[in-house]
Amino acid sequence: MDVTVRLYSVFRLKYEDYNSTTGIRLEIEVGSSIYDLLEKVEIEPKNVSIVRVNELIVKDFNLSLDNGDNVEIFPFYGGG
Amino acid sequence: MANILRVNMASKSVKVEDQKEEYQLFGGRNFIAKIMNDEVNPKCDPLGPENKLIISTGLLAGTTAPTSGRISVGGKSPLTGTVKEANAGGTAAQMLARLGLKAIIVEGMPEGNEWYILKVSADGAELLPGDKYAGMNNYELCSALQSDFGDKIGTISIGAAGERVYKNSTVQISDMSGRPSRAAARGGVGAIMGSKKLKAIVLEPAGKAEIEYADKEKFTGAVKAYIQGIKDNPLSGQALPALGTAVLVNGVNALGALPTRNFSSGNFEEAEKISGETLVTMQAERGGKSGHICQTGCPIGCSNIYNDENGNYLTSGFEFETIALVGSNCGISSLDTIAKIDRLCDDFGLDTMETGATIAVCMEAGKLSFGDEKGTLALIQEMIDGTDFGRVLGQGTAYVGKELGVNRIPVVKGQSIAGYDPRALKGTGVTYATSPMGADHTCGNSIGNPTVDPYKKEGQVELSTNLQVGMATFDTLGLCIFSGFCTEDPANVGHLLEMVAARFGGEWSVEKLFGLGVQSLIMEKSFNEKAGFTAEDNRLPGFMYSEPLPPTNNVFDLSDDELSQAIPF
Repeated sequence: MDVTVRLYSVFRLKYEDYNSTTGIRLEIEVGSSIYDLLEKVEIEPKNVSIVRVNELIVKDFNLSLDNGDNVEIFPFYGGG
Repeated sequence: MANILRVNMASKSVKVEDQKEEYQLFGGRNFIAKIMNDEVNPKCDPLGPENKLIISTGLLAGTTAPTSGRISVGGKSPLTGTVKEANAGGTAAQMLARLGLKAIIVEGMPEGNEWYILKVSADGAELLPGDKYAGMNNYELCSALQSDFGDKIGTISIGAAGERVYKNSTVQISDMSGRPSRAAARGGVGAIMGSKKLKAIVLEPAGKAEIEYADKEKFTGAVKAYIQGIKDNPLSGQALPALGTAVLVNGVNALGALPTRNFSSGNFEEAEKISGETLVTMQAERGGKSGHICQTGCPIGCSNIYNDENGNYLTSGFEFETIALVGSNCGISSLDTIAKIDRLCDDFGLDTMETGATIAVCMEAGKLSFGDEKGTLALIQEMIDGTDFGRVLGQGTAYVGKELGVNRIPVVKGQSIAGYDPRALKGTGVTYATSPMGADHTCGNSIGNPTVDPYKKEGQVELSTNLQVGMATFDTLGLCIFSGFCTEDPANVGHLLEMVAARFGGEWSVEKLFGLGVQSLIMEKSFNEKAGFTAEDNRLPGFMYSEPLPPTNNVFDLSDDELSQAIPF
């Protein structure tokens, strides 16, 4: 199944041709969790502040993803 | 030991005073608090002769400590009526240190309508006639001053907004290219300078700063280690250099805390268009710059140069707070329009945040629609032209909201809330409510803190207290608060302690270091109390307690009793 992954801040920097309109289309195994997806995009969970699935904040990264989900991954922030 | 330059605008005299021994450990923010408590009547008219404009370097100014070039500007705020310290980067603090000065205190008011400039060089300081510069805005003013005094000068200046004593007016500081793009923005400090008829301070270049160290070698070693700490931290070493403070747009939006349409939502559907990620990609194409530094030796470089669609310089130091308050909070999704407004504000001398919040309140009142870019530019033009309504707008968000009969006015102690809705970031909300400065995120921003749930009230008072003490300490040292992210690692607190001990001598503990911040907050609270502020002023606007904020539907639920536990010194 496919999900759309949108990366923010420093997570986006390693993808030079990242398209902010489309994000990244990724094929994952059925039943994959957010943890599995983080492993696939090589992001350590401890560096993640927020994950949103279809615009809702998800706190439990064991959540199984569905085909067509839109997953947004944010690092920690500071500044202002 | 660095000196204090005292300028009396009534007698037109300038006097260099030896720093009192007791002032040795006062700098930046706590120097301002000290002088305000020692010398200024808290009940005074902020725009009258009793108030003072205090410009102070921090305790580590003139050294090689990274980001030690922050300059604090303060007095009694015409916007809030509280004590005020607003700080900026740029060249002024390092230049003052080279001139052997710790601070400039401007007092009194001249009779008559003549304007003055203050020139400071290695040979001394003098007040010069400034009428030829009157009416100029900051960019034109800086060019004129550079052609009269040389292109190596540093400047501290006001635009016409400060001359007209607009309560949202700034003091602008020149950057390393001589552009007046760094703002001591908040609280109307430009109006204090304008009330004293001081149009600009010109700092001539001087030799090396002569700093006495208790242990120079140790100091150098600690600086090196602390710089490494800054670079190793993911925020100050990676995110801010690559994406600037605008990196926060998408993150704060995801949290549901991005002020949108006068604080009626925490989500802006077009956040990506005004994000740091978009900004950096666009500016790479236009020949702009990310990773720009505002002061010599900064290892972070969170600033930028923003070029217009033709590739020409438009503005620099273009920040998240401006984007949040002028952008999403006004429903505006064009970075070019927001950047144009940033330039107009720097030039005319307006706080971009207060300006954005004020315009959004006008939108709420139906003077124009949310998202109306032309209408927004027209209102700013009214401020610049000095029309009747333009002068009203220059009095700030609280005044304009009352004038237009708006109920939802996002201010604390008369100052507009920053780019984080406190209903979805409650630690910052505690800071807005209880800081002696009024709603000010730089006094203790809880964004990104992993230990406390931003939507819950538990732990927020303690978090805000710790942050407020930390920020007041950094503002006293004269260090950029972004250099402090690395202090989450105790080893870097150790390097900071080594630095201060090697500079000033004696034993330094964590308690003594952060005691500088505590002392600052105590003095500020004392001044405010004498000015007439009470615990009842330590609240957020009413609507934030009752109106759920979409999409998380949080309200601010810390009681007055709970808020009274913050900064309990």
